Amino acid sequence: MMTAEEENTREHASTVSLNDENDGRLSVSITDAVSELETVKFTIQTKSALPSFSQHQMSVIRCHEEFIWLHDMLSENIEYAGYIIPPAPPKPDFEAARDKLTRITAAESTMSEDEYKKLRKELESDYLALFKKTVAMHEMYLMRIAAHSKLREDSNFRVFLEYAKDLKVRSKNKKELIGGFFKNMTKNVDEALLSSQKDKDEFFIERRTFLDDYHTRIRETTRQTEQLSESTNALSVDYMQLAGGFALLSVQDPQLQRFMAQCAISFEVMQKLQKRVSTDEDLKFTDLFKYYQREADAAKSLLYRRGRALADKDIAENKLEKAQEKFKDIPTAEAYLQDCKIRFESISEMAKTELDTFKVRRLETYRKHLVDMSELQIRHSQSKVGELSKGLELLCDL
Amino acid sequence: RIIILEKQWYQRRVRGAPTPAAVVCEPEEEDPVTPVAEDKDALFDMEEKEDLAGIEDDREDLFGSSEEPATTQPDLFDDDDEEEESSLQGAIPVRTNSDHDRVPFNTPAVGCALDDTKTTALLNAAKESAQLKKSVGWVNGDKKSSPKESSSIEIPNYTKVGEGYSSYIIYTIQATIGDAPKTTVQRRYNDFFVLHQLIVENYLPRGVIVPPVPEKNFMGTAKLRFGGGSSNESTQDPSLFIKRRKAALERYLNRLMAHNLISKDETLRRFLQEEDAPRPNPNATGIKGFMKSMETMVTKATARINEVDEWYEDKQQHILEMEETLKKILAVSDNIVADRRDLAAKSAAFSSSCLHLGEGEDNASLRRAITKLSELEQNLSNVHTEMADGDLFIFGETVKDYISIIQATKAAFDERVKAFSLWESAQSTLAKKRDTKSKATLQGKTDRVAQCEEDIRFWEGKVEKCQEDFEVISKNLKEEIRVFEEVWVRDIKESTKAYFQKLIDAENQIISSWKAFLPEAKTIN
Repeated sequence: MMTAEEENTREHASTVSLNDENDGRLSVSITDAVSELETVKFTIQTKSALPSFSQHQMSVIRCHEEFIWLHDMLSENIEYAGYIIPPAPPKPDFEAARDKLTRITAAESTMSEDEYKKLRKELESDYLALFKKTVAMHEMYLMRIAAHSKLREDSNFRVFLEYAKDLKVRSKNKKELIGGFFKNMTKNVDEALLSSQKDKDEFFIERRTFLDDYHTRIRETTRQTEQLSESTNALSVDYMQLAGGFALLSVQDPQLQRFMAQCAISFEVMQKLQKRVSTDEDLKFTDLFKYYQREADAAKSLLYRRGRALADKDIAENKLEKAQEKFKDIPTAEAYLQDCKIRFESISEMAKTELDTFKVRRLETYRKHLVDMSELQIRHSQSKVGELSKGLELLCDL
Repeated sequence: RIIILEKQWYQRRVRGAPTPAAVVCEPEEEDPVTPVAEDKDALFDMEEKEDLAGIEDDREDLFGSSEEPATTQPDLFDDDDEEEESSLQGAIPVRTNSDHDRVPFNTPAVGCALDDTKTTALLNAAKESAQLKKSVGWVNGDKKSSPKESSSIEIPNYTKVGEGYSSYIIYTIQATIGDAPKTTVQRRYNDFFVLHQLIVENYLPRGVIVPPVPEKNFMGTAKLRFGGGSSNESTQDPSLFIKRRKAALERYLNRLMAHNLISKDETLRRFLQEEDAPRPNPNATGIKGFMKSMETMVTKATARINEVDEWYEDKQQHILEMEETLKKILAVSDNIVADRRDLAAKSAAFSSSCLHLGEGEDNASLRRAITKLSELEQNLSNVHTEMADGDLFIFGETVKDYISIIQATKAAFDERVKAFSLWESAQSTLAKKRDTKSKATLQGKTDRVAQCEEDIRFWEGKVEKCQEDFEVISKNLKEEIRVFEEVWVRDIKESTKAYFQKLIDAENQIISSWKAFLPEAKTIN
């Protein structure tokens, strides 16, 4: 099947933002990826100067499920309740591409050789684009963890990067899935209840309103971006067909032969460039917004956890009061309250730092993506102008 | 004395002095094939006398009896005169007394000193070359004729007249023809349609490819009349419809004026210059018109030409292929327009959601950057809308026009087939008449025989005329196709180049928009 070239993955490594917390003592990158049947296998290379790692350099192969396992491990760790847990990368979805492949092979007999080749080529480039995307997202996930001063110390993370053999992670069975589903439901209900919570801390109040609002807005923007990218792509398909039309004219009309042949060539180039514009819109815009939508979700989860901790503390206080009234179980209640207090305060403190870095990270990422996007678009349009101008010059002579 | 008179008269004619029926310029509407343009029925009524007269002349010439100068045959021989002057200059021999009695006035000098068979041959040759010259001359004009004047037609604006059901659009047409001052007239679509019908009637039977008129459009017009509602959709649709129609009508008029022969047409000139629009031909509509079109259909269905010249079949095949391809390209072009408009819409939607997102940002520089992004996307949206118009008008409409022109070409080919089948049917009638005559001769019915001979003479003439017509229309068609191909190649090249240019301009605008945004993106902090 398909292998993403190393070059391409490297290119993507450079376009993903590097958190400035990363002091270079741990660097993770995905150097290769292979698609086998249903799964994609990523080759992850790690260079570490940290003492906790057994070696300085290592390389392992992981599949998507193992990433999810890592994410679950991190989210379920109560010590990390005060952190924004990096959102898991989305599952690689080659469904659409696979459908297209079956459709094309089925219709092979009805098409001309040329058409079939063209469609296959198109499909291959689609596959490649999807591939690059999924690699980028998995890589970004790992780099995010690597950049977090506390999370990178996590033992599971180390195992993930080091353990040479298969982690033998099985994807959740039905029971676990349903369990997870219910957990989510209760969380949502809880969140709703907590939203009316009285918070003394201005910072968090403001943060919560901001995040809620931001989340809605960014979701809308993501949707629009996806549509934009699709529309741009549609145009590239049209250019290809136009090139085909020109080629036909070139064959049929001897007086127009060279003229139209040149037109066909120009529009084939236009098609490629237009497609690149569309892919870039997808990568730089859609993925950016989608990622930050997930991050915003993760931040909201953090705030939820804090809110939960606050509610627990309040309940504990009530319990203590009651116990004090009844003169029963006062020490337990006091101990419990103390626990809750500590928990709440640690979460609050961690959360503060996290949310600040979240903001900084966001600025960084947006900046990088928008700058990259501008430069790419300028380059693509310049190429288009170049091709069209060259073509026009040639046409004027014919 | 008689000789001298004759000579003087002859010389006067040769030098092209205006005689009552003399024709000076070659591309003229009076021509041997004009009769074909009129009702087929009339062909046998009106023209019979003329034809007979002409035939009489030829025959008398051969058999040596003198005739009155046939004033009804100026067409055939005037051009001969002009031809003769140049080619047979040295051949004007001395006339002998005996000859002049036999030679009719209107026979050029050829006939007097040469023997009979040669006469016929030369006569035919002269006629043919004249007609050849004439047929090529009609369509293209040669140096002797008046040059085609340069002209330009514009439709600068339009207005809506009336309300609701009875409302319509009036287009203002400005025509600049040659050195004449600019004329301005007001016309509505129906006037164009009538003009087109008149021109088709007049020119199609000669094998001319008549430029097609923009088609009637019930839906568009209906929307126009009742439209103008509150939603954006309906106000956009009518104005786009009018814009396209206006541009198409302009192109239509300019194409008419670009055609060598049609540009000089009376009706067209009146259309462009007089206040009142030309009226439709009453014969065209109603029962007569209907019968005519039925007849057309029948002849079309049954005729096949045994081609001597493969050229016609090849060309038809070639044109059909071209039509196929153009239709495909038109479909793609329509897709491009639709997709580009869609892209403009999606960019605009994205722009407003960016604005919304920017407002929600807590960091000032990021907010500003995203707002700028929103502006950028709005600009891009506008560029795309403009490009869509370019896609449509520059490229798409040209392709659409040529698909219609190809229909007109097919009609011209059909006219040739019609002419052929008329010829064939004349030939078969002649054969039948000859049969009848020989039967009558065998039976010894002398009075019948005489009648038959008369019939035969008539039909021989008919056959000859039909053959002439067919050859003329064939030559015309060849020339028309040649011009068509030339113009097509030129037009499509120009349109494609203009399209490239428009795309280049649009992409340059995109570049400058992004370049303006880039520094903003860099300031995010």
